[in-house]
Amino acid sequence: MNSAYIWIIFPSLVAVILLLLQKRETLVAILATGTTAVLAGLAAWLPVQEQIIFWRWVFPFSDTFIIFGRQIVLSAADRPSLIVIYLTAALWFGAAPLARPNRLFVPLGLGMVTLLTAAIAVEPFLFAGVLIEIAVLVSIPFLSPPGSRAGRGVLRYLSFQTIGMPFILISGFMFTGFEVGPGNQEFVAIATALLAIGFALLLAVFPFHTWIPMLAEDSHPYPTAFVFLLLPVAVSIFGLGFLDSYVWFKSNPSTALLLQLAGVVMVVTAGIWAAVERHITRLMGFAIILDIGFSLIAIGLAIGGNSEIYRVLFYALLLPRGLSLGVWALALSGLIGRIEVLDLENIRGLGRRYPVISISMILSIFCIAGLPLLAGFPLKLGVIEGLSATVPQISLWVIMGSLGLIAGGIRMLISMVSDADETRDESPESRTLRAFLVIGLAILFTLGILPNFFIQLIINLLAAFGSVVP
Amino acid sequence: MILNYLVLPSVILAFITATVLLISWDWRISIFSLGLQYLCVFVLISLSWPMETAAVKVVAGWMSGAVLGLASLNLPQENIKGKPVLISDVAFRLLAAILAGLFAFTGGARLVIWLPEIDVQAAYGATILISLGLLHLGLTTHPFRVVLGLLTVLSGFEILYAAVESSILITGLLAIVTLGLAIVGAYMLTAPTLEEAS
Repeated sequence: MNSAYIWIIFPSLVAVILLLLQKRETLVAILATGTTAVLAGLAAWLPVQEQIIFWRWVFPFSDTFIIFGRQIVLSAADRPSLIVIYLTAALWFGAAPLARPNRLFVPLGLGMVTLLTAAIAVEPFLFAGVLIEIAVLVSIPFLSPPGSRAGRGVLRYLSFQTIGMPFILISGFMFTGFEVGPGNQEFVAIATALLAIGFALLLAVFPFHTWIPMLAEDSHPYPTAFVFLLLPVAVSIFGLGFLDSYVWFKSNPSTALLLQLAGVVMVVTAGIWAAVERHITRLMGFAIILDIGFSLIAIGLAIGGNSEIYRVLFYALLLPRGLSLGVWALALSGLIGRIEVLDLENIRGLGRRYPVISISMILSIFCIAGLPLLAGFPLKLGVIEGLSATVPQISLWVIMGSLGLIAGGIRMLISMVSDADETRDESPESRTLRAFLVIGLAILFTLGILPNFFIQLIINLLAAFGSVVP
Repeated sequence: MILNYLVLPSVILAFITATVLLISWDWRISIFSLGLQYLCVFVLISLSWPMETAAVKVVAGWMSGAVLGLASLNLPQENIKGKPVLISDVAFRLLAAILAGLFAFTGGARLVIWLPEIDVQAAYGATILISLGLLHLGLTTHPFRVVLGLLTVLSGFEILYAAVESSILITGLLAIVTLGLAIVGAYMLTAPTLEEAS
């Protein structure tokens, strides 16, 4: 028995089988949800030891899988990442029949999940860049489904991610050369610049962020949000692994500052654009850019000083992001076919016609922006406090960025509650959709009202696998 | 080795093929240029790798060309041809290609200082393909052309990377990426004509 069999090879096979069964959409969604939920459960409860005892049988268990002389290692430290990734996938696939994305979404989405897991596990880790690129290629058919022309957003997404891979590979090679010591400062600066450009392309850091709002506008919101959530998570975890591997690079104060500045730039630019954006799906794109910015700041703080606290915050930020994006994307999916263009003009009166969908979208925006009482607030407050302690001059800008997103949400709210020019006779929201949205919103509120319980849960999870010291 | 005599012609041919890819509006000429380009990539990579390993690149490249060619062949011609050729457009692209080539010439020399493992002629070939590929990407929004641009950039990078990394796993993965790009390109070309799945 091997961890790679469980979390990489088995789900890959399931993805292939689901691809063959794609016409039975509900069955495919159930199978994918079951598989990913079981894999998340196994990541949480399967003991980390050399033998697995099942009733009377004893199976030898290894966390290392060797392929062509390279290793795929899913150790105890990777378990929190596995839980996050597979739980996210389970939630997403579970609600897929409601959102009605293209039927390639679930099988190829599962394929993407396994490739991103392999990217986190592969050693030397710089090969992860190639696996991330293959995951991106796998995602194209569900972002640009059969019967539609590939939009500019899809093409830009493909281009930026493909160009990002060589930067990661070549900088990874250069960093491996510095392993014995940083050596020539000019080479270190070049390698750092290449690495920064590579990650900026993969994580949509300004000025390489344009594919996110374009893709959000072009493609179905549900699979798009899935990519927006999963890809940055995998790239960020890969980035954390990169930093952990090179202590001299990690301990350089400029590295932490660079990450924090990149994060702040993302938050500020996303906030400004969100404040003036008129298209709702593009607004979702800017919201995710803002949230990735917060994650980058948390990583910068984690390597700069109080490593444990901000590492916890980095992981904790993923849950509200996933929930908010899920609720938002599901709500937007509920509007497909009902409203032709999802802009401020066309959503006038939406609050009366579809109250749950409207409230879900508004609260998701506010949660990502970090409004009090919602799940994002305590975590974003923690990040802003940490930033104020290290670089107080720029922490105000982060608040301004969040306010920008809130302003975008308020503009949307005003449009939703204003009177529509014409009365439309439309079918109401489905009960199942309402139930899913209400459950999502309830969790967002619960996490916001009980932040200590939530953060303690994350700390316990990370501590259980030795990722942080409790 | 006989291939050593082909290195400089390969660098020049790489520039010509990448320029043809940039200018040509006929998919047949583009696919033929792509095939020739991968032959140049093979010669330049064989400076760092044994020929049998370097052959992986040309095989993957030609298969990519075949995939894109077959997809284009099965499409209505107006879907693939794009807009009609304008002399001013060709002149602009040619000038831009020459400028990118000059940039690559200076960049290649600098690259050898940063990555001493790479042969100077291979460095020129790599920078030519990367810069012309990026230029191509900047000038188009057509899926077929975007994939050609990406394959060109990736070819240039593979020449560079071959000098520093010879792992079988990475060779295989990069071949998968090359083929995957072509398959995605073929999919994007044919997707509008396919039946909607949901």
